[in-house]
Amino acid sequence: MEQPLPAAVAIEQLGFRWPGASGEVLILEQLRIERGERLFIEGPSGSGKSTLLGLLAGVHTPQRGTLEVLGTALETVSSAGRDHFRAHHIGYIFQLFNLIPYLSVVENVTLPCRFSALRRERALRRFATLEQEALHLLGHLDLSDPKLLQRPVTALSVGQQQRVAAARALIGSPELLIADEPTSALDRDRCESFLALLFQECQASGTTLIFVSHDSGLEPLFDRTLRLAEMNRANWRNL
Amino acid sequence: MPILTLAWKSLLNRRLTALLTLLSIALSVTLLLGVERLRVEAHTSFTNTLSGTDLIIGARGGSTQLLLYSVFRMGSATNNLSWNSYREFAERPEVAWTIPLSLGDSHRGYPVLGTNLDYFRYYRYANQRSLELASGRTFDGVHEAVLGAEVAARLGYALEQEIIIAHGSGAVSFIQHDDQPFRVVGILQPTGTPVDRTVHIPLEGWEAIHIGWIGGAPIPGRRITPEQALTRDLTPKSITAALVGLESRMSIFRMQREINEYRREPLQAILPGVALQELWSLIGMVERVLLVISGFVVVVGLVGLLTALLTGIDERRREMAILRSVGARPVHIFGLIIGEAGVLTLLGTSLGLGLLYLLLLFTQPIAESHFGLFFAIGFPTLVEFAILGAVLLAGLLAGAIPALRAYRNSLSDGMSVRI
Repeated sequence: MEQPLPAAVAIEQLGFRWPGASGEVLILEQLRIERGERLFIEGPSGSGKSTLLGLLAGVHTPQRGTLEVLGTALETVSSAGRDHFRAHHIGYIFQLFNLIPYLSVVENVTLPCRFSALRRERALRRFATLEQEALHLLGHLDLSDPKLLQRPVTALSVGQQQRVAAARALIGSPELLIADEPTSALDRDRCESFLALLFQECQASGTTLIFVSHDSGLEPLFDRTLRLAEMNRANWRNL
Repeated sequence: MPILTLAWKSLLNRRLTALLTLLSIALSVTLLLGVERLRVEAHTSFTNTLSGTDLIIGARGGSTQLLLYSVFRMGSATNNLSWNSYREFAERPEVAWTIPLSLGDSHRGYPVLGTNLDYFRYYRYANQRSLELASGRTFDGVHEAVLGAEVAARLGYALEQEIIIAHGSGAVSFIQHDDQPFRVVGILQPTGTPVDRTVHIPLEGWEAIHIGWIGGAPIPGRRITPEQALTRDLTPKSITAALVGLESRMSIFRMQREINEYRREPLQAILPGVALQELWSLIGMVERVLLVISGFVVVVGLVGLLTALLTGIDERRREMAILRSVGARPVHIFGLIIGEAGVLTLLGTSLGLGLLYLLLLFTQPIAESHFGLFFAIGFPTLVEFAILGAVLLAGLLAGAIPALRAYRNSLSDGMSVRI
């Protein structure tokens, strides 16, 4: 009998406050995100979005409550252990400036495989080299023009940069992909085509997507929406 | 290892700053190693000036002064050593050989040395090397001269050249022994010692040009021809100093004591090795100061490295956050920055070493012909490796400061960074 996979995220009675601060900035009674789910987290700035993402990515740890990501109770794991966990299981896309300026497009995409043997191994399951896997992903994200790939990453458009970042977050098929307002600098059309590509790739690799934005217009595209401002029991004035 | 390739690519991205930093490290390392080489070679060359001589005998006075005029042919003696006393010691059974030295005259600024054929037979320098003739022969007649290599080269003298000896040791002398010219019959091979700067004449010739001189000045109207001089008794009355080789080194100290306690004349005997070391401890100070200064230049080079890396750290917070997001631990961030420092210092020191060899290759002939310093272009010495290692370590230490800062930043920033 096969064990059911643990949820992507399971939070119970979580409370977080910044070191040295008196009040908690994030209090979540319960939150469960299923595997393969596409979750939209909506909230105005200051509602605790970045804090929640930092917790999910294992950068911060809650002072109380449980925070299970992919079945691992992150609050019990050491800082180095959480770094390992992130390297192996989480892809992350920033709002802007996702790329290391001194690495090429392909080197940027394969970067996570330098820090995680697990993701390198998974990437090499499909292709003989990491470069081939990177090119494959880039191709799926509409970045297959060889001339484009030769250019320094700083010369790419914002939309292209975000797609390179998406390819990087997806390489080695991490179980969880966290995107922190990745489309805020894109116009409507490019935003939707970016999301379509992202969804397609997440689905292909069974990746759970946690997508944060203050643009509630994107909401209908996702399986579920989480309104952080309503869920967060912390007093905003603590921020 | 993957972090080192990142460090390398990051440096390539900032190649101008990196290159300048690297260059400043390289030049400072070249300077430091160059000074160290110079110091070692100067010391070797200095202690190589004289070899095989057990004692130097001269009139009583300062031992450094005796060394300066008898070996380096600098300065002058206040008193002489009588020929009789010299012969008395020369004929002692424990004495293997002696070389008489008469000094005080010059030719166009180069010291003239009166001696005998034992000079060419027994004089040793640089670990038992003997003098060799480049051309011609040693002197035979009274009015013949053998030139040191530098004298011949600088003054453009060849064999058969007639030279006039000036009285006194100044470059410009008003009293010339122009009644008795000398003929060049031999030119010596370069030795890198004061021998190269010396005009050698026989003691008899020395005596001949001073016939009729009283108290360092000629008696007016009493000039004689070389032919007349030859009819005189040319046995010297006195010499300036003598180099002594003993049959057994065991007798050095007894012999020295006997000379120092000689009743008939105030004499002194010095051990050239000891006296050379004493003199070096005086002038070697300059070399040490130079070494300390070049050490500071290296520190300046490394401060440049520190500045270059430190100024970049705050601008690179974004980059660090991205690296954290793909799984880099703070330790990797530390490694990245210190890796950059390490790569720069390693390349800098290697380039510095390369520059040193390039410099040696070009200056070797000049240093040898002009200063008598011979720089062997060999493998770096242990001391030089130690210096390179110390610079590398210092570079890593300097790199640890920005690396630690980046490490702290990445701990506090996590993945969220103000853009």
